[in-house]
Amino acid sequence: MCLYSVMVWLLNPFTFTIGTRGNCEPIVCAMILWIIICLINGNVVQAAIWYGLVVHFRIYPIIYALPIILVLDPHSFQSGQKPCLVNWKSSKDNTSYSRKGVSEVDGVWTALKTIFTRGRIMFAMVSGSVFILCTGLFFFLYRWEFLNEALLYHLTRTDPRHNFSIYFYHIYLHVEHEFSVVEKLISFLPQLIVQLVLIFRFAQDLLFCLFLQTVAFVAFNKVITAQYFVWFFCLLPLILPWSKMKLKWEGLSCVVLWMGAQTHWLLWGYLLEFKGKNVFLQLWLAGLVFLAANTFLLIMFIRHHRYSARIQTVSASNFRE
Amino acid sequence: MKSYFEKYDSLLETNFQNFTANELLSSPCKLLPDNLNHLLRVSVPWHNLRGEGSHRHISSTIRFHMQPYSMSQLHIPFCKVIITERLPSGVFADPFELQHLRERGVFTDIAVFGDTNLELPSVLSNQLAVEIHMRVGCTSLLGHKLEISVDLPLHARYPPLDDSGYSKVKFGEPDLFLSCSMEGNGENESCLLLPTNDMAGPRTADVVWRIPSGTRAHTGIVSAVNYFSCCLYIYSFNCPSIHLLF
Repeated sequence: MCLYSVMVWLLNPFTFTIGTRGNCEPIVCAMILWIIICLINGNVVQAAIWYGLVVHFRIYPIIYALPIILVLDPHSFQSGQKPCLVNWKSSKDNTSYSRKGVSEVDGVWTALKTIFTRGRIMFAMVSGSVFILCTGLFFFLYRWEFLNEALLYHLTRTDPRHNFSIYFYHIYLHVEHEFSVVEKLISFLPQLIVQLVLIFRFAQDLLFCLFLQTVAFVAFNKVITAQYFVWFFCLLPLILPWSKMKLKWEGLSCVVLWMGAQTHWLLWGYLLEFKGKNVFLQLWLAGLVFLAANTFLLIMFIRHHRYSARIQTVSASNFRE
Repeated sequence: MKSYFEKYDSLLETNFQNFTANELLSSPCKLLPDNLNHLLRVSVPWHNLRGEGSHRHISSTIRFHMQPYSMSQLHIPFCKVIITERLPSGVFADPFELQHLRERGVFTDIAVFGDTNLELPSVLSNQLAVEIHMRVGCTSLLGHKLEISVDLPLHARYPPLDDSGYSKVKFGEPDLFLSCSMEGNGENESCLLLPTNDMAGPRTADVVWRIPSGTRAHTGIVSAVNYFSCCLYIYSFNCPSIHLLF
């Protein structure tokens, strides 16, 4: 199983094609996997340093902030100690005990102390400091050009040219009239809602949560290019061992459906770009089909997931802040 | 073109003509006979688009006709032909691609001026100009004629919306100059010559590029279906059957 899981990443045509065409996605993937290893080993500070660095390098890992913070539960993570990993079933009793324990304690102050714990504050402060330091350094070197290209550009970017996203045609049709602030905010809502639903549903199973978040983030993004697929391919080996999905025929049907939806889109894209045919509407519909395929895949993964080992919740008597 | 874009923001025809007449050709050039320009005639017997889709080449054959007197004055094999393609709105040249061509020796020198943001649709971008320098060499000379072929890769931007589904972009003829060292001039000083158009020579038809465009009528349905689809897909994550698993 281990070997097959690694093959899904190393022998994946997307991995070596995208990794060798001149972009940095494999570096980002390696950093994210290292952050996961640090968290599993209880090295919160090291994880925070790398997290600040990877968000400076590529903005998208910011979506992992909330699940990581949630996982840094004071009942589970002891500073400097390796957290205990248990099966989901054995941890059910502990979970209900710890929740009961917290609810018995009165006061807003205690609730705040439960949320803003030392581990969480440390992670936020360290990662935030690293991010600000890196941003400050590059601002010192390159001034506003760096800030505009690295950060501010993403606030105002429009991508009217055809890509896998369903939004490209919508943006192109409105390119002559600037979008209002309300319209811009509304266009972020689907992505935001999906992220929040997945985080609050699956945060305890961190690896699975990160994988689902990444797939959903890419699928609902305003621009989708093939290089974004590498972001979740690197997390696939981490969740495959915990899936009930068999290759025959559920796994194969997922692969065929996802690749088929992509190929369908690419066919219309080829007719538009290389044959000069007006197939904008068909291309946009193909984008809708691709989004449906991504959603189907997410539901299939959710339905067939067996849950990876989770971090054990420590009983109230053993908990020390 | 660099000095043009230092002075002007856009490629208006009147600005360009004024610039050519008042600045480019007004620089004093020693030993240049007043009528030398008229001894040089140029025609463009072939100017056409090649390829299909959003990525094409504009191919041009440029023919200079020279009088024997002018050939003795100018060191023709050491002259440079300067071709300026003022691209219509909706078409752009990729500066990185052209740099590769220059490194491979296809052109002596080449540069792109204007809005080089490759992603912008044409309504948000300005016109581009491409300046190509090509050394003449002996192989281009055929008696008193000088013939040069140029093949420039171009790409289409997304044009403005059009109910017909296509937008037409029309190319003008390139602006042509000859840069030569004159006898008696310093080694580093060359003269810029503007040949006269050879009205008797063959002329090609207008070059038109038909580019697919978005249809305004799709605006409402695309927005509505996008939002409805997103709501539907988001709801699918909250299906009760998924909740039951937890």
